[in-house]
Amino acid sequence: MLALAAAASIAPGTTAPAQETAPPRPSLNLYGATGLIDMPSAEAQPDAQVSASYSQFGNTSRRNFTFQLLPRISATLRYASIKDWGNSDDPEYKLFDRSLDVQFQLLKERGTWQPSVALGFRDVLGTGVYSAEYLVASKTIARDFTVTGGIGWGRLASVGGVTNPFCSMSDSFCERKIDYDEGGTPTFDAMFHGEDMGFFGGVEWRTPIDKLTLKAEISSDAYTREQAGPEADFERKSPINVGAEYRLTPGITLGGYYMYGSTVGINVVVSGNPYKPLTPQNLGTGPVPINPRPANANRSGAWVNDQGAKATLTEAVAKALNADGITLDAMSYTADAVEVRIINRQISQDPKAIGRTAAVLAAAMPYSVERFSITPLQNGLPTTTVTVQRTDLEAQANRPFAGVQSWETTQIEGALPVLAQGQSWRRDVYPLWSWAFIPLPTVQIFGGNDGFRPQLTLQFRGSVSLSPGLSASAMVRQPLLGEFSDPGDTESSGNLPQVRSQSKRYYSGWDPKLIRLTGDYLFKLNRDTYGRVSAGLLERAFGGVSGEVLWKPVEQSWGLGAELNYVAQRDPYSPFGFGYYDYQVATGHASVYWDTGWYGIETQLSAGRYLAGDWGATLAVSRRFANGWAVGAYATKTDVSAEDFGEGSFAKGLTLSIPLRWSTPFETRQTIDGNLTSLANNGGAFLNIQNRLYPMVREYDRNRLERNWGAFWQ
Amino acid sequence: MKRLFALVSLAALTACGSGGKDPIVQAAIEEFGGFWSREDDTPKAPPRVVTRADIERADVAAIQARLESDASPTLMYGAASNGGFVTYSSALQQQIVLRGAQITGTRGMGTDLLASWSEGPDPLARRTPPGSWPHGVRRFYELPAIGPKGEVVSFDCHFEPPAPAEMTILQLRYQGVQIPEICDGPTGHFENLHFVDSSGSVWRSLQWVGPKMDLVDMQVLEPYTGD
Repeated sequence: MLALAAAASIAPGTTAPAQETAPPRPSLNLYGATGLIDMPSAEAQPDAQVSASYSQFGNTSRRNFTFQLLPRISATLRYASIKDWGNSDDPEYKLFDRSLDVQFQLLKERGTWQPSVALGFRDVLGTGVYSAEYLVASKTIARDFTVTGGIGWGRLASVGGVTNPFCSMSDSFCERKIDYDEGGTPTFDAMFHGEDMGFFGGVEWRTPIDKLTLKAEISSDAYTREQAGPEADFERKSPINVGAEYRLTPGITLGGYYMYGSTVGINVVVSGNPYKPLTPQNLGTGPVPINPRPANANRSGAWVNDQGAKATLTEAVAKALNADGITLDAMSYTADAVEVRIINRQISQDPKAIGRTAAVLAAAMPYSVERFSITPLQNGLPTTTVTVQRTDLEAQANRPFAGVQSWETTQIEGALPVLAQGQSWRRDVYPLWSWAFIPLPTVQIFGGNDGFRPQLTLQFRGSVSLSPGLSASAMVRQPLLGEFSDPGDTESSGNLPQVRSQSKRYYSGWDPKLIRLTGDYLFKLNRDTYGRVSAGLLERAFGGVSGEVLWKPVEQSWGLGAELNYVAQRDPYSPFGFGYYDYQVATGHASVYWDTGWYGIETQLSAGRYLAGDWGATLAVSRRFANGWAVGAYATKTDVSAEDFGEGSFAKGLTLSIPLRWSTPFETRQTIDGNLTSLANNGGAFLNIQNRLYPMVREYDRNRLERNWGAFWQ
Repeated sequence: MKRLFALVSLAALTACGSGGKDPIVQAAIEEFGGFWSREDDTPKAPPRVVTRADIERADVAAIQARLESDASPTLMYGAASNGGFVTYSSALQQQIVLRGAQITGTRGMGTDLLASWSEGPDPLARRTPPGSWPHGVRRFYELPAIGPKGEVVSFDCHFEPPAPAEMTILQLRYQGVQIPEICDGPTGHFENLHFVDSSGSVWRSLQWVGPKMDLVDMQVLEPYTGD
């Protein structure tokens, strides 16, 4: 009788997962925001949810990127195209429009009566095409049945409304400015303005059919301008939209709709959350188990004078570490202490690599060695020295709360430029080669009126370290799918040197592109100060020399940096040429970096001279997650007027970094990085340096190490 | 314990570099290699089945463990003993930590159980004849979270009356009882199941190790007798 085996086989049916069923994630509308079909709702996505969506109906198509910035604040960046918009010169003119929405959830749904309530602002920085404000409430009134109702201004008051109540306060509220010139400036003057205030609402039913949701709504958007073009064939016959959505997987939703009594719409949403990796994050080999030293063990330090034993020992440590993707770069030792310098090639969480190293040392080192100091190198740069006591390791391993206990007993300090103690020994690991091929999808979203241009390239990245800190690296991209055509000599919308507006030219054609070819030297001046010198083809459009200094004590949440570059603009048609534009510039910035410690939010304020010779400052704010995800935004204001800057008025954009580890079941330190800039303008442009110091060392300060310290024992 | 994912192969094929490969990834690729690898007409030897004689020859504490998602169990040998916590490691270096027969940790199997402990006398952690098992225990599980401290979830567990049972574990037949264990907590509930002989030795046990990995089916092939 194999009762247990039988019971095991039926266990999944009889054993409920020990986790309560989470409420379903709210759906997104065709604007990419949480909502019904074309109208918003007051619900919020789970904290940090990131979604990309594509929607289309009538003559409108929208590409949306939405991020739940904080539990109650979300933002949506949109790139819309509207066919047959028409203008005086071209009746078939197709409008490409960029817009940014922000929504604040004022109340969360609670109890029997309290609905969720949200205040939203649509197109707050754009050209005003989608400009609207709304106050909306949503309430789940029965199981899986949610009702939404709201009031709106701007576009959301363009049909079936009442007189704007704010008009009674001041006549100025009755007039809504609809011309935003170059765009890019906040539309505060227009908010809650206009003759009318509209009403919208709808229902959403998550049906008993698994993953299927039905929606219906009444829209208060008249779509007046979309129907005004001489060639426009979209007709809004009805305010009612109905549709169905199917959640194909937890991260992919497909929607189909009948909209405005005349047209069919679709919506495709791809969504992910930094907190919810796609694959198990702890699949792989475990650490070397820790056996405590016997109480009566011989702890003599005589071995330290035995050269042969030491050589054998260090090679054994190197071999054991190599199995975890860790290179032993150097080692120094005394009878009771050892310091190792390691290169973590593979493990995404640095505390995990440090823990693995400590476990190997606990297994390999003679019993007399009590103190392990471990220093990760980043591009040859000694970052932080983590010191653990072997006795603590032995006492903590496998125990409850081992993570907290080890954090409390670990010493963390800035690494010295060179190994400090005892007899040093450096392995002959140089030259150290590193390379990777990766298929890289790129999207040229904001290239003026050129439209939405996806491209797939094969990227090769290779580097060779000649000694600690001294390296040469190269990056080449070969287009595979989606060629960018060469725009030729075009004029930018502003009056600045064309340092960025010619970007498309640099990536046009099927030829391989030499993106970067540099020599770099990274070094430390003392425990807290880092330095970098780079020369060569620093980025696709510029080459020259670059130097940087960073002061960032490990214990401190902020740091200071300074960078100075002298560069010339590269020839877009010759990998090594500089003559095409004959443009040279000295550019550089002083920067303050601050990790606020609040929701992982990190800020960077930089002031200095930009590539086009303009002077100004950039504020970058990003939310950085423990697993490496980062979503950020930046804005730059320089001494260039909005007119000279051109469309967009000032430089701004979004940055996104996704660790590949989040989606793969094996360790890798690769990241997928994106930079969504509002326009290919020339003002406020930074040089794209690869080895900037702060991004390289920030993961090794006390705050960052603490966030991931749970991985130390993994 | 070798969990396989089609995605593994895809990711490994689409991106490659100098970083080296995880042996578990390598094993998964080999298993999924049929999609891309050329036909190999060479007959492959069937995988060698571990026998009782192998275990006795090794003379090392050993267990077999299987996640429900695994087709077959994995053999793990005792690799370390630290204050009553015995680490068992597979050939692919995935690990289970036992305190007696209580699974107190897993490494490399998917989502790690950082630690587990119990409040009150726990017949899994300390050998207890079935007649002396307590009514129940409170169990705590530490799961990966942000920061040094894991997320701790707790469950109140009670043992159901034992039922006589027989069990064959790697060619050895045991007589004993099986004891269901019902656990409820603020985040849900689960059921463990244990096969125990009259001395209180737990020879086979189905234990919950976290919400993502759910249950591990663990059989003791050669008990640890140290400490």
